[in-house]
Amino acid sequence: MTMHRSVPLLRACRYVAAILISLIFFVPMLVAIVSAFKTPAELTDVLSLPAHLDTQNFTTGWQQVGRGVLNSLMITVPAVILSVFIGSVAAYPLSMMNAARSRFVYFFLLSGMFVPFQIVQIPVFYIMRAVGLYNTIPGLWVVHIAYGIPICTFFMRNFFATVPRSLYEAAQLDGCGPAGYFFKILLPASMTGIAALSIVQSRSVWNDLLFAMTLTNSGNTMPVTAALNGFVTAIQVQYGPLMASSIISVIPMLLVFLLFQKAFVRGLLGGSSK
Amino acid sequence: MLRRTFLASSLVALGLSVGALTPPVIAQEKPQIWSYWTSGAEADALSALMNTAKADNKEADLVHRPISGSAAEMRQALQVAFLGGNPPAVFQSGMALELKSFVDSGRLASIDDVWAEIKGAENFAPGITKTVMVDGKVYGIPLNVHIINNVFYNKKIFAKLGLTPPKTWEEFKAVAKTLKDNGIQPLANASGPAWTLYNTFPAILSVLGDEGFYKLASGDMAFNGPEMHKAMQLFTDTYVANYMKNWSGYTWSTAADQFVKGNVAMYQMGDWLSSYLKDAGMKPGEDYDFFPAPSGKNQVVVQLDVLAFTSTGDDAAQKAGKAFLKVSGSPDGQLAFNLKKGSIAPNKTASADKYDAYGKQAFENLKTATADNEVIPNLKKLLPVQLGAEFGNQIVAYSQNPTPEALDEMLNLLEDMHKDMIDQNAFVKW
Amino acid sequence: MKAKHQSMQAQRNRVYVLFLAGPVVLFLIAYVYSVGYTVNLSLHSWDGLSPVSKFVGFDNYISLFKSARFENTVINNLKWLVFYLLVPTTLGLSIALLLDGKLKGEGIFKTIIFLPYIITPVAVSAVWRWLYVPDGGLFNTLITLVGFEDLTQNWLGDRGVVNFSVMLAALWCATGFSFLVFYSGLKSIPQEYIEAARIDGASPVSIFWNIVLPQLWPSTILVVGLFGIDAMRIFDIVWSMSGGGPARASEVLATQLYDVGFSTFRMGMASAIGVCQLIMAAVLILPYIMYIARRVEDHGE
Repeated sequence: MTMHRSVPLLRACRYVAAILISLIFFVPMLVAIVSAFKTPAELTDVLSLPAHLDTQNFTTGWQQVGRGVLNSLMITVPAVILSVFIGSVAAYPLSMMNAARSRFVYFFLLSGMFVPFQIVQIPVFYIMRAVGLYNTIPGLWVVHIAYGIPICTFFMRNFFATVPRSLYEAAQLDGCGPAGYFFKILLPASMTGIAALSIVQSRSVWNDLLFAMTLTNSGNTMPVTAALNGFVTAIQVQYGPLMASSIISVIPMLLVFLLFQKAFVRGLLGGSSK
Repeated sequence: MLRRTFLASSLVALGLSVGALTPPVIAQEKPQIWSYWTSGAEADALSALMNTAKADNKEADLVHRPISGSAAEMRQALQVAFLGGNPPAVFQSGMALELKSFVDSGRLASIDDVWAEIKGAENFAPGITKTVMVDGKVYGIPLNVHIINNVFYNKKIFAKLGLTPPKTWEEFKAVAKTLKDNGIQPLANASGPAWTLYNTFPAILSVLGDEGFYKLASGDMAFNGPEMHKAMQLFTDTYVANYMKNWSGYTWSTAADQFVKGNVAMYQMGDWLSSYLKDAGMKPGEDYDFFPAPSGKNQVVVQLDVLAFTSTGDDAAQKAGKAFLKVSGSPDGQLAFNLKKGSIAPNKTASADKYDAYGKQAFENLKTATADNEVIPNLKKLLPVQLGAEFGNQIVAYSQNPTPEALDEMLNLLEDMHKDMIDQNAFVKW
Repeated sequence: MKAKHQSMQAQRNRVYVLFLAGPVVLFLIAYVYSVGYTVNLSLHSWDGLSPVSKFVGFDNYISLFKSARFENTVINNLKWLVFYLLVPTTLGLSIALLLDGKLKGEGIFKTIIFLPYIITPVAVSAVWRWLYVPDGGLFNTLITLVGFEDLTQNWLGDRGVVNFSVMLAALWCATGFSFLVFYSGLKSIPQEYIEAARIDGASPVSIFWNIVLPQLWPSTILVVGLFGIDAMRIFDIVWSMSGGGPARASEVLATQLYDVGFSTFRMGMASAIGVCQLIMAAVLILPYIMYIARRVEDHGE
């Protein structure tokens, strides 16, 4: 919507404000970027500029987190796709069934939202070991799917509720069953919502440290967050490489956002406000 | 377009996941060593030790699992492993009470046999042995010593103002006063439950003496008695009164930056500070130097990491673990590790030749202190963990507001806890 | 015809049950079993490593409720809740309103404001700790530069200030999300509504209150809900930025749980903290969840 009339002065003010706010938001990132190019001696002064662009930090950083980035990708991509899918599967009947029946199940699933993850650590370990998925990357997918159920169901349920009912009726006339409707029509029609949820989920899976620490047992499975954490907790703090590798670790997420941002913006609320 | 992107990423994911299914399984076969030495010099130090071990004895071949974080995360990982995962053969533990907590839970095996083979009783100072001994049995190898009661000072500032390193508390106060009069903040400090507590050790040692220090550690002295009052008062007058402005807003390394910039002239910190200052461009012996905090005698307060041995592994793991520990306690293994890490080998037969300027000096101090039986372990790690943590937090709060009432309050609170801990039998017995 | 309808209905229901079965079973295992386990653990005394633990009844809860440390932590969590519900929401909305409507370079503004949301908390706190360095850090340097030296703060070292400092960093991260949600909400408000109101002579302010804000209600629900949950679970940024310090002044439930469980080896007590956290979240967020469930019904059949 456009609330503002095109008064040139007002427009100019908005530009100034927008630039100012973006600058403020950009400052911490700028500090990180500048620091990533500094030598240890230059780092002692936060506000100084590096004498020359020292890429040593990126080399060190990449050595430390390169493998982690790959691991994180192997964990995140399938985990996000699967958890969004399972959320949709749960949300679909809830959006179609009559309220009285679905209310209890929906409410029950949403209640998972307020469980603090720290308290499920030990039980999760027991379960994963029992099913033989301890210390495997697929084990992490399962955990992220399971703990993503409340948020994904919530999100997709809201999205599906806004898909026009007429679509379903039309599909029925064409002889499409309820399952067929879900796979052939509803899911493809909900791509924007799926994209939006994918970004939210990617961020939480990508940044997860707790489950990764509980369920993996070797450097081959350690995600990038764990590798980054190693920089800060060592007694010789290495802020230069930390900043450089933080930048490296953000790039995949940034790409995801840029790739899907159109859909994200359209899909965040689903059609709910159409 | 969107659908195609999704399809493509699903395919990529599928490909990646096929690759993901295999590697972790292979990694489980060899016995493991777990540590949180995961980056930089620390990681280099560990791999130097692992290489030495492998070269020395083929059996001592362990696979490293890096634990991201520190003691708490290690604990978390071990907890899970002992519940039925794959516990390591050897792991990095804190000293003293941290080690005891593992012993108490029945998860460690004594390594008295290894200790005898490496002549531990002769080669390690009694104060260091105390950090790996529970109920008369040895449970770990002391791997690296960091001295935490040295006060680093800016040599140029001292020279300019005609100051010399103080040897007594009176001299210390005089130095601080001169610095203040010349607009330089005397003493750096940083937030966090460890650093301020470490700063109290010299005062505690000088009032209580070594014997009283150990009494406090083993629960045989009251926290709110006259001795501790006096010690804390000394700490307040010498250190707290001279801390730089807003010290509680710094981490140890940002506080070090203030030292580098010449905004503050002294800093009592573990000797990892030396590496930091060197990286920041200061020259040891020229731009900065250190003196032992004036605690009376030449006590050396040490912080160390221990390699502990789990009792749960199969024969192969036990063998490999013990072989690895033997090398870790030997002069070769200790040097390989410590030269890289920038710490000192606790085994006194390790030669001093290869240390840097700071290391040589620290090594000499340690040697003298060993001869005088003045190697003192970090009090925080001797106290029951809960009490150590409480002391650390309380002292930060007190140092921000050092009134006599706050002091009484703190000491009474600690004493209550001390009594609780006695009831729970939580103190160390040597 | 009726019979056919009924059989279709039955088929539909079978499919629905089939669809729900998987997620519900997974949920039962992941949540219900786990929470039950933790409740049981909270009635025991266990160091986390021993093969045995001791049943102590409600002792853990009793000593928690008596401790000043726990009380302070609960209050901090409530502060975080209020903060999350109000501040990043309002700021996100304001920025969305500002940027909405054909500004050039929209994409760049959007990306910059959203980016902090996806940066890992470890990196966020490392940078913000630098900004907060009392002497030479960005904040105090700027404040001194513009002549308000008295207003410089010991950002992370003052027990009265530290919570706000950590919140400011959290604000930087969270605003990106609320901004984007509101921004997309604004985009989807039908233009005709506003045009019509404008022709009727409504002022921009009244258009905002009477048309825009009600239309943004779905966005608000999403943002408020997710932020409320984030606030109750807040851990990473506090843990990596202040460690709960100085002297535990900035502790929240999750960091205290972690500290008690893994730094001082009291798993039973840590579980009790977790259970309290769960109950608190349930009590505070339950009304919201109920509202959502009902609202969805209105929109549904």
